[in-house]
Amino acid sequence: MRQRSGLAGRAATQAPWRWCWLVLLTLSAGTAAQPSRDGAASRPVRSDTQWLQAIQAAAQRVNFTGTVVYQQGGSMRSSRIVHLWDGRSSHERLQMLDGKAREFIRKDVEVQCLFPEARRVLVERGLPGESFPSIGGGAPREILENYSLKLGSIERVAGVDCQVLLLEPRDALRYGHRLCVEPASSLLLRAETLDLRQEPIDQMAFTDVRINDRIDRALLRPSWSTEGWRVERSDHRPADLARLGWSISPPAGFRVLRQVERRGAEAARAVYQSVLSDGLATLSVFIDFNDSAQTGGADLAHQHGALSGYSRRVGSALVTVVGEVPPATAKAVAHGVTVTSSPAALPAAGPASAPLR
Amino acid sequence: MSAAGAPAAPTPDDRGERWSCLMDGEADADQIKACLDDWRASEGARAEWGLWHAAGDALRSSEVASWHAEGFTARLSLALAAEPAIVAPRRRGLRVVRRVVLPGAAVAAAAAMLTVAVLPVLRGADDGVQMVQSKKLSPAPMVATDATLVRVERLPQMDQYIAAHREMAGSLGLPRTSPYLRTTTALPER
Repeated sequence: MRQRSGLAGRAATQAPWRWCWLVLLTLSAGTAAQPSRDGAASRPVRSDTQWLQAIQAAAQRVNFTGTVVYQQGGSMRSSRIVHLWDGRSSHERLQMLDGKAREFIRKDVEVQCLFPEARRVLVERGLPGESFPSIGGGAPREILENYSLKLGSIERVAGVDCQVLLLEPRDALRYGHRLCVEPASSLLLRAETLDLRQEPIDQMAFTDVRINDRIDRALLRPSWSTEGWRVERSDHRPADLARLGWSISPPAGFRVLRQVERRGAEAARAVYQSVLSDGLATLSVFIDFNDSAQTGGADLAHQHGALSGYSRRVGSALVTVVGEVPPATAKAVAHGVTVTSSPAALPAAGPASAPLR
Repeated sequence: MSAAGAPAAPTPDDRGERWSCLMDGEADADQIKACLDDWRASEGARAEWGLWHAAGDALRSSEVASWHAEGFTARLSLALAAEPAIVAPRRRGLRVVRRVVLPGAAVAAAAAMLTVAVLPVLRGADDGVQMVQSKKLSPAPMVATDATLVRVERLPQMDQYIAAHREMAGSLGLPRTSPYLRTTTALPER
């Protein structure tokens, strides 16, 4: 049933398959693309950059269906995923299998989040490669400046042989990652985040997967008709924190990706968010003028799986760092946030009566 | 150890030995009873009991140790006492208990998504393990002055922060997928 190489069956009729051919031909540099049963004999020869590019491309352009299990700290969730590349766009439907009923319908970068009990659709715009099985859209060169890539053994995930890739951090500011990639399609089948002692603290993996099967478009439609549901859009817009007198010092290897202003329905004042990335790991710095006194003066530290947070008061704002980084990194970033005494840093109460939602 | 039939006030050494047996599952019925009596009667015994567990947890993991909070059992007892004995607890009452119970529950079941440990900025200690372990070696200060090693609390807007982080940054992280988090945290349900 499972077709792993792209060399058989219905390939000729589907655009994605042609694309797979290209990837295989260019990236495998002449090695046999057909995976053999013993696995090790058929490792594609790829440079580090090519491996990362292949994983990123596969998440967008390979057809697959499967069940994904996500484990963070002690909690576990599973979901059903269907992904179709139609030759131009990437389509995905993600159904949560436990907890409240939720579905996420994605076309390229636009994601509709469906909340059936509230009859509500939240529309967000992300970036390509937003979620598993992607590793994000960071430039391979940037990733490799902060992590070294090593090939590991061949393992099996969801009944499929896959190549282990280790992304080892070059310093203690970030976590390492252990990936397992199906060699023929380059689809990521498992990703683990490793703490500084190399112990897994987070993982996401397929428990069953079918790669390169034909995808019935009906599988991409949501379970519910959303007619009459309230549609909301995400409420952020660009902001310039430096102009407001705020300074954030990115840790080595990180850079500021974007800065936005958010204004929730209940919040009287805007919350500013600055997003930092090292190509793979990301963290957000929130500067919140609402209820900044609630920490009682103490710094707050929190951790759940690979997610770390650190809050402290700076001026009249609560500064909170959230990201998939070691706790010490979150703390260092939080302590690197400074504000000048510029009056612009203390925005007046916003038009609370006109929330942007 | 001879079965201590007489409930004479045990010395700290007796106590330690008894508790060690109890925690290792080697105490006999008399020893267990002596421990329980001691625990019930003596404030100092209860504090020491907490310390023993804090130390043990610190050796196991910083995350577990970070759940230890001053007066946790006292507050739990109060909350339980205040709780009406009904089968289906009221929502409001439940929240009170949950906040107090959360530390233990989260350690055991890790069901809570994200809770916040408030670390008093103690001598620049980065790591709960070091912090608590050092207390283990010199237990007295922890019980007395520094017993508020860690306060457990939840930052109310943390869920929104996390959701916002997923939305804006998930694109470049490893598989983080906002969707997964939203099942438990998420958006205000309106």
